[in-house]
Amino acid sequence: MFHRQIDLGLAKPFGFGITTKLTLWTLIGAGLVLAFTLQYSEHFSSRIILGLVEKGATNLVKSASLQFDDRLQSVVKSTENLAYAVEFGNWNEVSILDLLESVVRENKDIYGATIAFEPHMFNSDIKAYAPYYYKSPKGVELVQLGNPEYDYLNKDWYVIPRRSNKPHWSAPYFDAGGGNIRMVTYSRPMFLRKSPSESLKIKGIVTADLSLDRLSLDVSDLFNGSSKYVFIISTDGVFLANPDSRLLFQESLQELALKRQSSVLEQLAQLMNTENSGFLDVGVELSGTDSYCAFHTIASTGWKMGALFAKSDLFRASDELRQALVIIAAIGVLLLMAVSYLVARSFSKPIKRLVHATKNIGAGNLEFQTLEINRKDEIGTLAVAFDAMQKSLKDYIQQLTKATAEKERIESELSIAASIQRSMLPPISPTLGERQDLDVCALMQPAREVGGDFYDFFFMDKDSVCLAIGDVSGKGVPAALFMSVTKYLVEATVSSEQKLDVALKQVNNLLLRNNESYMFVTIFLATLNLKTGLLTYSNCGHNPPLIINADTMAQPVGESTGPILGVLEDPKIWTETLQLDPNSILLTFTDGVTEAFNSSEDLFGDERLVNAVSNAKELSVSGIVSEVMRNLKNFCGDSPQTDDITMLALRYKPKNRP
Amino acid sequence: MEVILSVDERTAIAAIVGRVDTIAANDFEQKIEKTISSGVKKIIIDMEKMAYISSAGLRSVLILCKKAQASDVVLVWCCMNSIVRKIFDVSGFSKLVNVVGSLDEAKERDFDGKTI
Repeated sequence: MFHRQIDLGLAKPFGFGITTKLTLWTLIGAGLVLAFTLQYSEHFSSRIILGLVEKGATNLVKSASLQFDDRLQSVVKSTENLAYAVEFGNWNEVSILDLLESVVRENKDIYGATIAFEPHMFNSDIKAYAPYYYKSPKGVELVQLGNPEYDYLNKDWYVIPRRSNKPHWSAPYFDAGGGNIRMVTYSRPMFLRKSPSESLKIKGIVTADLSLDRLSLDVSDLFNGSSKYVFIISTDGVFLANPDSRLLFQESLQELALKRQSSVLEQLAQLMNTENSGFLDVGVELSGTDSYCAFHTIASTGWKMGALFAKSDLFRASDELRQALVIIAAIGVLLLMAVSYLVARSFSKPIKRLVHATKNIGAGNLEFQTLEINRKDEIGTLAVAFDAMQKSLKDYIQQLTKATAEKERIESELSIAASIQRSMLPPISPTLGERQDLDVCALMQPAREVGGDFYDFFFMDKDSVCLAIGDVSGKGVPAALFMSVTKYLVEATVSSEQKLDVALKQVNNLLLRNNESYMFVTIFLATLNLKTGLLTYSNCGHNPPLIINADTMAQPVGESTGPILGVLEDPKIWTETLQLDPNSILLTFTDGVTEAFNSSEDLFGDERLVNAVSNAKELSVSGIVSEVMRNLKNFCGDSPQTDDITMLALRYKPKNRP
Repeated sequence: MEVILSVDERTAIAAIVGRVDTIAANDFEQKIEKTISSGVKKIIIDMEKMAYISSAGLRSVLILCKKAQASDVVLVWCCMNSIVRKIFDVSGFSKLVNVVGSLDEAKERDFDGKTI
């Protein structure tokens, strides 16, 4: 009977299991901590790195600009030497061409050079003489610039230094008819003098050209690939060098900013115009890749050299470090997950077994084998406790089964006993056949299965009935046994030939015999002559019945009572009589009625009974009995019934009223 | 139910508090029985605070009277309230046992020992 299948709702655990939860929470927790740590370090290191990057880039540009300045100085030096040589030497056409050619050939930075004389200065016969050597693709070639198409005397590179008597770096220009490339030119005046201290009279202009295309390549080389975009702007902001050759000498940085409507470029142009060196985030402007620009002034010319440094290059190391950290963190988290998974599983596995065992026990399978989880931790303790619980449950269930069987046996016996007891008593509404002069109704409600109360009602002859009601001390089985004895003794001894007190004395004596348990019984015994309405009664310690007439309240029958039966050797019992009025009602009852308690431990009492009966006197006898019970139930409420309740009501209604 | 005992050389007074119903009857019986066998000559059952006595309680009274008689101890029942008095009267117990109204009377009077 205990092997029922019970769905304990454990078959499918709600939500995730411990293993999944612990693993997930480890992942979330460790992930959050690592993400926060990485973010934090990123935040601080990026500022430090940016500072380092700025310093590094600025230093690179500075060093490159110094190197570049050295090369410009060597060009300037070569030009000056040439000028000195022409000023102080005696040169014929052949030797001066040799000198000029050797300067262009030997100096790798010089694209081309000329010695341009004032009109008629070299040879009074020749108005304009300006031999120009330059590095053509075929080799060093000579061009005479003193031709009318070129007209060097009106070129900026000639006019400006001649006027100022000072060396001059030209703006970038395309030298059509001369070098035929984009260039800048360093011009130095030559003077007519025998020593440097003599007064100045211009003899001519010596120049050296720098190829802008070549310049762009050269300055890039200075950075050894650390910058892919190196440029030089003149003091006017015009590009002298730029990897994008389209921009060379065509426009200034300022114009480019306007043309592209770029505030960043404008900012850069402004900065480069005013500052000697600087550093600026220029984004994707100029080079097309996200970059920083660092610049520095070339001291001798005032030009500015700028270089772009791609952020991806600058931050490559830190990006790689970050990637490495992320990978390490991810591996760490995965390892942590694996460990927590294993740990959680080592907990959840025995718990699952416990769940399985619990389900089995819940379903009543107490023979389920023991768990044998040999662990020294709390789970081990739980398993041991569980095994102990299983064993004691098993023992308990066995005892319970035994006790239940015992109880069921007793209950079944008691139920049989109750039915026997009921069958010993007359029916609660005896059918009186043809008789119209009498109504009878009884009620018996034991406090337990069987009770110690009894009632009886029988015809002694045609015209007289006997009625009895009794109450044995105590209740339950002992009272029931004593009650059945009493009931049959009364029935056997009462007869129309014998007075009631005599019969009761006989009953007393019989009960007294071997009454070692000191049980006793109270009895109200009466006979009613239906012809005369005379009630003859004896009361042995019983509650006096109530008599109810049409006009009055219910009244107790008899002043006092005789002694209880079953105790005294020779009890003093007497018989009294009462004339019943037609239609009057006699209600006999046991103390279960008047001594019923409510929850405040008040007794129902005689007064309530008298009132209930008096109010119900118009009803039938069964109506009166039900009304009393209804009052009693209302009074007691939920309080348990403590004593057997019995009532026997009789209405005398003779046909011919006397 | 409670039994409060006060004993001097010859007399014990047992004050009963509460209801002597079917459940309490056994306890009541045992406690008084113990007093009977303790060697006193007179036991006064003070019933002033006894709220109710059931028929099982009456049976205990009967048994105690029998035992007291056998041990030559006088049992006196005093100070019953109206409910208990009525139960004693109706059942005839008032006539079977020594019933008095006050504690003083119970102490002073000599009882020859009613026989049951």
